[in-house]
Amino acid sequence: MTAVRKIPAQHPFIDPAVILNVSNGVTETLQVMAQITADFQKPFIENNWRAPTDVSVHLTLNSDPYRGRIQFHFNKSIIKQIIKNMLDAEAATDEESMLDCMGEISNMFYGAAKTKLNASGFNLSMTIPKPCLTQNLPKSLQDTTCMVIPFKVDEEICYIEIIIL
Amino acid sequence: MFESNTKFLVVDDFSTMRKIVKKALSELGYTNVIEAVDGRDALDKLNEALAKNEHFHFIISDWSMPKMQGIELLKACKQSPQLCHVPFILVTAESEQAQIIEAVKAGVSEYVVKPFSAQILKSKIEKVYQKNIVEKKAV
Repeated sequence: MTAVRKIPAQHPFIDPAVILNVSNGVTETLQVMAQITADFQKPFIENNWRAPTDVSVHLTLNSDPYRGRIQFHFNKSIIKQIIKNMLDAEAATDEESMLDCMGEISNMFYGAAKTKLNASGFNLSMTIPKPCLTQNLPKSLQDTTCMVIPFKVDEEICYIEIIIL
Repeated sequence: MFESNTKFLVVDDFSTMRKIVKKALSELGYTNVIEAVDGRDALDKLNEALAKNEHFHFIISDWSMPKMQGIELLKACKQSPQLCHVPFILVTAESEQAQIIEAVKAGVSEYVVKPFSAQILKSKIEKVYQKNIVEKKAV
């Protein structure tokens, strides 16, 4: 078993303010755009963690001099619910539509958190979200230490993953 | 309210957001909507329309896009004598003060921060449209 690489306790990306503002960004976005409630659970730190989900979105998380990634992971059943709530019951829920939807939604998660965090001293840059199937996540992002923030939506677990590079 | 034949250009790299905006426009009675996937694509469509002596009456654009960002599209439109009067709404997840100031300085008509309710988007579109009608009458 690989030992979990120790992340310095003072690392800004695992600051409670980051966890709070990213979680609030997710909660607000899902509530306003899709009338869906997210129920957050206790975060944990893992080494070489693999999200047990269908779809993921990865974004850069850079605030000089710190480098990282933020990823959002969802199962298809939740994504279908989000699409139907945002558009309508007849909206397409093919794989391409699901990836596109989660790219846009993750853009909002990040944007909401970025605004609050930059107002409190971070210098997070703009980034374009990259959605993909979870199994196709870039390998370079997989062998790392990360903080995972699980949250429940309609009895399904979704995840926010903050990777320290 | 605008006339129902009002022609909108909706610009976003994610089709989900283009669909959300189109749905809001449809609920307001506007169905003449052309889509563009980034600022460059939007500029091409605006110029193609001008070449045919056609006009877009309203632009609704995302900020953060590949190839050409929404703020660059806004600045390009404001520099064009034929496009500078077209109302321009930025719909964006970026709501930092510096960005809002940049957009206002560039001449944005209204700024909608994501996430937003359909009601907010619709009210901003109507507000800009009404303001545009008043300004046209004044001219």
